[in-house]
Amino acid sequence: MMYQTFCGRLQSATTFLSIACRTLFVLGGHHYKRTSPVIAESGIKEREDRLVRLLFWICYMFDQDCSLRCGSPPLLSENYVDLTPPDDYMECYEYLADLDENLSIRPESMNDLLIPHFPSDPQLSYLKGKAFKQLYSTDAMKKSDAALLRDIRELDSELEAWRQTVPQDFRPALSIPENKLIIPADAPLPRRMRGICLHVDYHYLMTCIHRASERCASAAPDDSEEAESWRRGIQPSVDLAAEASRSTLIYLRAAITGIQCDLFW
Amino acid sequence: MSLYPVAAVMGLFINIIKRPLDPQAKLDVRLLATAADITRNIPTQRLTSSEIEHMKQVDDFVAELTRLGEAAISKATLEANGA
Repeated sequence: MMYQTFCGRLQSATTFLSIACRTLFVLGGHHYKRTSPVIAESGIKEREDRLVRLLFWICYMFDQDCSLRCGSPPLLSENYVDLTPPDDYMECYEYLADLDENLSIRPESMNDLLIPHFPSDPQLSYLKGKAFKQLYSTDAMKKSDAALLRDIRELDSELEAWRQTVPQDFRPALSIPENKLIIPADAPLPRRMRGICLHVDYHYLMTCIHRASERCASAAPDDSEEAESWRRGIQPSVDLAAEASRSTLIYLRAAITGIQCDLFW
Repeated sequence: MSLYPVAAVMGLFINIIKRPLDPQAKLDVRLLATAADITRNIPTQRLTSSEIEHMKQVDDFVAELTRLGEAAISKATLEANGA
């Protein structure tokens, strides 16, 4: 599934993803089980449960990402899976800063712990799924303009709350002005990649959330006061979507040569 | 990675068309034009035929959106001055 995704063959990737999701259901990966992060304290069964749960999260992240990219419904709906995040996933931000290109961890004491390492942030993936469900699903298309705008505001608040939980070194910037160095060019590759992926994912989700406000339109004539009032009401969202698009291009223009090789798709 | 510049280009283009007289619109058109460079600069050991094809499509797409954006700004400016 991951290989097909990175080759740009999304249709094949989603086919493998559906097989992986069904397998995870059989293995019980969609249920949360508390496990110890200390290697010495974990038996074989506990390590197996932990691995299956981690595979669930990887599939979940790819599923929500594909859903938002392609506009198709997700396979792992929050109604049927336990989305309790891994107990210690935030600790990845502590070791990422020191992880070198060979993925060796310093200090060596961290080798005694089973810290989950994901391609992205699980909470951000949850917000992607929520945004798709509330703004772009079949039910969302039937919502009134007032309900849609309310959901946009709520999603924006949740996205900002998530952004504040990310440690400062990795936190996506709200807006990126020209000629601002965001990630030091000499940072190790794993640290650079996480920073770049978080930034572009955050701005992409920001665009998706606020772009939905353009569906709101007054039935009144264009030059009427009512139409003008509607335009004023949705203008902040339109501006935020545009600024997120600008930030994406400015950021990638500076950071693109620093990404890992062969991540074209 | 190639998704992000293309998605950003779409968002910016829609903003330019909706508000061509905004002072930011001319800056956004210049920014649009850099999107094709971003795709071309994605590090890769060896380009596959689908990647080369995609780069060409992005080049043509961005060039067309830039042309349309500049035309929209020119037209709106002429109409505003004429009025």
